[in-house]
Amino acid sequence: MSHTYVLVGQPNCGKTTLYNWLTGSNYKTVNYPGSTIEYSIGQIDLKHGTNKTFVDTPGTYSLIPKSPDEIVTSQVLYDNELTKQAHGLLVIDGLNLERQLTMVYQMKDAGIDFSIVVTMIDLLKAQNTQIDFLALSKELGVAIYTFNGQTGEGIGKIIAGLPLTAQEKPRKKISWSYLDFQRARINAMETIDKVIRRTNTNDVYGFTKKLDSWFLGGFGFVFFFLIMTLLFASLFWFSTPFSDVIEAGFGYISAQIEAKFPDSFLATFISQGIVSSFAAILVFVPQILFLFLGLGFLESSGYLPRAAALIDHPLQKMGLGGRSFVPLLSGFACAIPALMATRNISSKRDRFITSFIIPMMSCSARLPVYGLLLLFLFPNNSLLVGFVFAGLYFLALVLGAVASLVLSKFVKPSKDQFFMMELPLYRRPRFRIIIKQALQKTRSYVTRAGPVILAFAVLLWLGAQFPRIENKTPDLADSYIGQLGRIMEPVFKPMGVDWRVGVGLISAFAAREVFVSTMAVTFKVTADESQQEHDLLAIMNEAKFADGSKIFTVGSVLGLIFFFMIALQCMTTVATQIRESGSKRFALGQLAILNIVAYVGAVAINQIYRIFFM
Amino acid sequence: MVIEFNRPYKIQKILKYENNVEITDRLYDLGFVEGLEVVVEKRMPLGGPWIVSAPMIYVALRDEEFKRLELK
Repeated sequence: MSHTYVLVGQPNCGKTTLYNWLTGSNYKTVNYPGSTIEYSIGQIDLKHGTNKTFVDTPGTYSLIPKSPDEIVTSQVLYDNELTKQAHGLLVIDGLNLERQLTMVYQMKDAGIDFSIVVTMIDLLKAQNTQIDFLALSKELGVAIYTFNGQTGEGIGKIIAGLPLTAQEKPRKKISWSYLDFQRARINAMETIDKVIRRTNTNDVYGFTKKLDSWFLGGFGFVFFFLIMTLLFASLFWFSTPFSDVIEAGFGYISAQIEAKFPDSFLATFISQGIVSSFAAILVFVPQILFLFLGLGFLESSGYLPRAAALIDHPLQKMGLGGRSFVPLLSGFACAIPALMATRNISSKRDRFITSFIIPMMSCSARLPVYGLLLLFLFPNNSLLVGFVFAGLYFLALVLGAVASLVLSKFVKPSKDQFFMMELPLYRRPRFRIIIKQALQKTRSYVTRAGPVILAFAVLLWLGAQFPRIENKTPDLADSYIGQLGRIMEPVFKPMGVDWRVGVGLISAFAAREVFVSTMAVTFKVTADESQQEHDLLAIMNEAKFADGSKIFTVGSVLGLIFFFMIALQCMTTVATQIRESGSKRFALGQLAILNIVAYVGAVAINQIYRIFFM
Repeated sequence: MVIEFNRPYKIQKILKYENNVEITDRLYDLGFVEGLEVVVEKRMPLGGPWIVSAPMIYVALRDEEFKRLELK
């Protein structure tokens, strides 16, 4: 029989580090309050034993929940069938022992069976603080274990002390008044006074405060912009060679398959339908990986909550708050983890607005689309393309700000709006964990978004191959996909594009990046991946409507760029939004509003260009 | 009251904020109670949050949150 144990504690107290040591997994552990946004379940690491299950919960300041992540913890403790009788492991940050003891009294009031694990033992030593844990355990009437997250010291004793019986008496939900808090705090102070001995205490915050005088001082925003610019610039510097290798590798495999079986439909299906679709997914992996590495580094070092605090005031002007910063920043890599990160925002209103504008942040999937369209606008001027590219990121922020401002006028302020960001100590980032977590999140992106993209891309390819005419691939215009594009052409025409681009836009609903490869199919580019963009640009320059007028003008291309900036095309994002918001109405409303605004904007840009510049 | 940085203050009272009662509750959660000695470290640029520290607290508070702490 397996026994279950629930890890509970305040944000950033070291719960997830303990969970990693107990289970051997490396789930998310970061130096940022509120990093665990879902609870996770893991089996005990086999080297420590068997038949023990651990549940890691999001940090909570008390058992009276005030934000969605705290509600998750409350549900684990009270409602979840698997865990509502499980023994609790209350994890307490040794440096904040006195304050976090409040949770001990709450757990006792709630009638929860639990033991205490005190973490940050290394920092207590560095601070010259000695605590008599045996006496503390007697005072509180609860078993106490100590644990060093850096070395794993203490893990054996914790496991040996785990009870093998489930709680039988029911738990009760508590409601505390100010007097209860005050009483708990006084009790904690008296208890700690009895068991603590400080000799020549070192101020562990000394170094942190010194760094904060720079990072949060008069030049705080200069550092902020430098760090964020460095993060995004390095993202492109580091990822480009890897993306190139992936692209070239898959191009080579496709070519080899087709060369070996020149007349086989199956071989063409594998080469063009499957291998190329895999390439479309994997080509973004380096960028996403490097973004997660960068964010992991900033989180682990302790800078990210400070960045959120710095940007809080400007974001308030936009109707948001500092806690929206990390989700919005993550949105530049991928909207899916960004939407999940909104659970950390306590205010319903801020969460609503943030999750609404996240899809407007320029995620990695838009990059090849922007690349193609900007190269069309500024051929042979890569420097200008680079500048405009950066400008599009900035424009995404501005458009997001405008959307947020508009939404904040319609959405009433909620009573749960507060910021109060704890600033953790600056600590040396643990690269091994950062790398493992970045790999884990990247894998999660590939497994969540990958199948949808792959299925849609394969479907599109098949749509272009059927109905077979004399057992041969039909002309694209006669294929199913071509027929669909032609039916919808009246919708695309006001944007200044024909059915072929329309097919590209439809295909982008699988994943935006599919647009470029679909355009290559609809415009009959036969070159391999490395030549594809060059040939496609040449064909785009010559592409004409039936009346002889050019399809790709500055107006229509600017309209397409605007469309891609605003439109919510990623179906995986919509599915995530439904799950995160718990409302199909909200997710589908967002889908409709963003796409209508994108369409109307693209039409307006094209029509204005036609009227004034043609 | 003009706040001086880097000098200790005592929390006289934690004021209720009618528009948002959760602010007061969260201040309790963070360990702010009457009689606690705190240091106002600084205020972030451009009217940003205040940084307040106490023996076990190092936290950034928005102006409206900071104003809930009646300091002396």
